[in-house]
Amino acid sequence: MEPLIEVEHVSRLFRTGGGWLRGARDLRAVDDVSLAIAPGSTVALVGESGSGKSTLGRLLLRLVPPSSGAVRYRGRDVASLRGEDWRSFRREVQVVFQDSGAAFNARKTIGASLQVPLRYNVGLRGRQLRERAAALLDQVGLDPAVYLDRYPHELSGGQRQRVGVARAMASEPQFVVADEPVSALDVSVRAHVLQLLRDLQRQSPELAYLFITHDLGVVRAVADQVQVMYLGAIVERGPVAALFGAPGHPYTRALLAATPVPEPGRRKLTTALRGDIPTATDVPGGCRFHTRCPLAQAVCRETSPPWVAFDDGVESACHFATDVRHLSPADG
Amino acid sequence: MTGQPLLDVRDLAVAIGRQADAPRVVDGVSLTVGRGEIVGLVGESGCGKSMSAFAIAGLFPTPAARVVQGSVLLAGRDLTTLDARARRATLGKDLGMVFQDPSSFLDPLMRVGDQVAESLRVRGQNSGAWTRVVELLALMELPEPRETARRYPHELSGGQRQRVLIAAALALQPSLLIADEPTTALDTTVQASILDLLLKLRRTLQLSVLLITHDLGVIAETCDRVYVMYAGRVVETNTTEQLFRAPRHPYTRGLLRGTLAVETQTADLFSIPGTVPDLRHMPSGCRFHPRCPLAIEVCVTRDPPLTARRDLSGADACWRAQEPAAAHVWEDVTWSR
Repeated sequence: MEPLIEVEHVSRLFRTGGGWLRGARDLRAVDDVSLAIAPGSTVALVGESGSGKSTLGRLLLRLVPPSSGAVRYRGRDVASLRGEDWRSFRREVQVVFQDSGAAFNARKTIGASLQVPLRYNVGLRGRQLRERAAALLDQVGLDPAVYLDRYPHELSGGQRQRVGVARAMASEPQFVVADEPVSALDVSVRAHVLQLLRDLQRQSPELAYLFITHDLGVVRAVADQVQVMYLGAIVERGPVAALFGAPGHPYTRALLAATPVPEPGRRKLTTALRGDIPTATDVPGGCRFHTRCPLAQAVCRETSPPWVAFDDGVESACHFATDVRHLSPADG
Repeated sequence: MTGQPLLDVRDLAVAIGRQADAPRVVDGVSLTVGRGEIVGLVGESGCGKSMSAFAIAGLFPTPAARVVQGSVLLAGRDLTTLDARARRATLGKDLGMVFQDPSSFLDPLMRVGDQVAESLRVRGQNSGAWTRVVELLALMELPEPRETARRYPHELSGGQRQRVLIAAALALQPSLLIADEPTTALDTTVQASILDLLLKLRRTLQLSVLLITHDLGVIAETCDRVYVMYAGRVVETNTTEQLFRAPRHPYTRGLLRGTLAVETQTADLFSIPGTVPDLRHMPSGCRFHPRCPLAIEVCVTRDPPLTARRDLSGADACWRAQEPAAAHVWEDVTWSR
């Protein structure tokens, strides 16, 4: 299938420092990443804080331009979009942030905020505006009679997050980047928002999501495909069930091992990872993960690992991916 | 657990405001923590779990909150009867506390070692304070403790900052640590290592921990026993194993069903319909009745006490938990608004 949105060898550098005493250095937030998202699919992007996953999301939205490489939407480089094409990109590609409350104008009612995209992106006027805003609130499970005239501060975290989803959906998008949309929510409210996003996809089967999260339970609940990011690069990718069942990269293994299991006695906590994620100004040579990897050998310090592709669709960037996939979850 | 528990909280109530009918965020909570025991306190936001912790420590985030009823016995001494000065003396020495967001509890302009040393120095332990700080940081498994002690908070990662705060909380060797969502703001990899650390401290120092969290996965992996709170009350308590294997209260059952597991794909994402009640408009009878599919008349009129059951460990506060229907309480409930 023709991908809806495609990232080709994209890198993004940020200049940091540049103080009086210290020279400026380049922080490589995203380092030669390629990925493609098909219409109607849900791709999860996982990794620790500092892995560059939010920057990648912002590159897809054209909120930051790439330093090199290209982002293509329906086959066209998004950096080149102008005029009517740029307007339709901005209508079709939407975002839901972690804290939607902070993304709303505190001095506008929910109804007024929802009418902005309806007026400028969808072209509604007059009475239609309020009617459609009401329908959107109803769709996300909030009673329009109550919430249209409320202000953001009058809503709970879960309600604000649902209004955030409603605003993204107001433009009838084809692609939505959801950046940690449920991380700030209680477990019980989390399910509401995830189910809502799933329901909306069922109603518009072409709608694709990029789900940025550090919670692998959330990935399991919503995504078809997962991309694992470490220090600016994708290190493993594949279908969720196959990849979580037998990860081929020690980093994915460590992420899975760190996820708490709601079954007492099932598994003792193990800290497989050494130390913290390095800063992206000092990306280690060879395999970028070797400084924290429990399995690292001499080759890992010297050579960047090639991609290894498996029959079940999993692809891993690790010298020992075949061996790692055969380890049982209990092995250190 | 043998003999007297280290912490024995009895019938504790916390009200917000001075008037006689001020709303109670915590209303009749009793709980115990034994020596060397890790006990979990779980519930949704707004259920009163953090307020219970603040009340035990005698540290309220707002001056409007006050203990209106009950006692907090720590090693047999009632903390609620102490005056402010004696109360402060117990902080750090008898109990330590850590919170969710490590950054907001560290002074950005002070070396972290000095901040840990401060808890020693305010108790007059000046000599050897720095050596002790380095020892503490090493105990918290911080890399290069000598160098780390000289760093500023911004030079440390979130996980390292939380370790520094645990070091400060444990500097005077209290027997009880109250940890309020200590890993919620951290990456899961960092969370796992902090929880590992708590388990290690319990083993090596016989530390007792009251762990407050909304994450049942965290509870399952670290706690010996659990208290489930809803709307200011304890609605169920049991050993961790029994609570997960045979939950009794419909609220506990709902929380467990709504937990996302990484190993299995959940076909339906479950959450308990409705929301936590407003403090000022507490439902009559059982506070959970408006959200409970099993609610009958008695649930609306009479408040169920926390009751131990014959042949079962733990206790539950539900009129219908013993009926066969309770096991199927959420079966026909699919996602609703």
